[in-house]
Amino acid sequence: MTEKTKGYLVVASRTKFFYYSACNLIESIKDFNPEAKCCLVTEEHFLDDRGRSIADDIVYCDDHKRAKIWGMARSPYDLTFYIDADIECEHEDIATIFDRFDGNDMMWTGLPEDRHYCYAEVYFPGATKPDGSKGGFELCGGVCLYDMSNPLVRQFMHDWFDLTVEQYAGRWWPKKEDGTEDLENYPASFKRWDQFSLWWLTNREPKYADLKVGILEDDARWNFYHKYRVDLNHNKDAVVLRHYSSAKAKSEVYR
Amino acid sequence: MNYEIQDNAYWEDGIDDRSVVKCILMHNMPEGGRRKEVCTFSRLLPDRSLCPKYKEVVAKVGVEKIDVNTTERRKRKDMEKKTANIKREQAKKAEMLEKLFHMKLQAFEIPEIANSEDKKLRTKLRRSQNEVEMNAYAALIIGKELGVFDNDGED
Repeated sequence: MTEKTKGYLVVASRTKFFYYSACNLIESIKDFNPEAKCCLVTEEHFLDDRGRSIADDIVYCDDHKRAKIWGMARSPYDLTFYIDADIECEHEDIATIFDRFDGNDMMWTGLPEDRHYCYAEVYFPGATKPDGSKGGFELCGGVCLYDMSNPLVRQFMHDWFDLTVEQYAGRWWPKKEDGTEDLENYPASFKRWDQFSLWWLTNREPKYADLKVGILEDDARWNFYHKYRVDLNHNKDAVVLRHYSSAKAKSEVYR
Repeated sequence: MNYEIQDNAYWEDGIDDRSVVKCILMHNMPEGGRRKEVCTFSRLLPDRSLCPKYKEVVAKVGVEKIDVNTTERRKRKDMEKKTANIKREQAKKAEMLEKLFHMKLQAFEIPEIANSEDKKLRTKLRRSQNEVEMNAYAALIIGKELGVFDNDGED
């Protein structure tokens, strides 16, 4: 049996901001892990000499809002670590990520309550737990470690993209018994959010009931939002990936 | 009396002689419902006579309870102030980090930096902790690419 290939996947579409960020991210990964294989998924017109020289694999995408998921489904690596483009690597442990599946098919970072101050909406009625306690999004989509050699994972990525496209186009939303959209349990504010399609597939889609989905150990260090409060000690060990997520910057700095 | 005195009265901040009490009066409205009124009463009125409202509040809530309320409130306020300071500092730091991140991205748009093959200096630039350090490395890379340092020691 041949050894599974391993690599990092970064998607940069729609704005130059993401392209420059993606190049920066790949270079920062290689600063700490020179042997790293990195795949850059981007729109052809963004690609320049810098991108060509740092990426080991290049995949062209279109400008769909969720080109990210399209790219994730097309990773050239068996064991893939997807990272949002507006992230920077700052620790050598980046090289150890592929040893962190912990028996799962797919690993994410979490959205525990003590970090909710950084997120707009987390809880919603449709996610209420069987014991009656409130429920909501538990996975953060900023990074994802997954095994593309597992057909179920590969199918999941394709389904996530397809469902998100339908969702964004207004052609899919959970229905009530009378056939109308269930906006009481699933707020309309989630309609332009791929977190929701991710939640749906991992929690309500029987096809993926056996998919082993986990949260990385000491997850905050693998996706440390730059607005996280250091005094709250979300991470135990040093930050590996710092996430500079700022909608304002994305829209204003680079168009 | 058409109001109730809430039992969370406390001595006014910055005055430790129990001469000013702050409290909440809940008025029962004739048309139904209640209205909240925050009041401050000094022990002495301008004519140096004892303020009846002050006397009423102290009698109702009790000096001991007002002392406890005051201590607890000051502790809580101190903590809130500290937390607010930490949040403010963190927000400032986050803003600084974000700005630095964007400046680094912009630096890598400069052709001399984007095309530089000096990996060591590029890494140094990327890992800069502040604007000054970043500008210094950017200048070094550009200088090197333009051959500014080529004649060192020859002039």
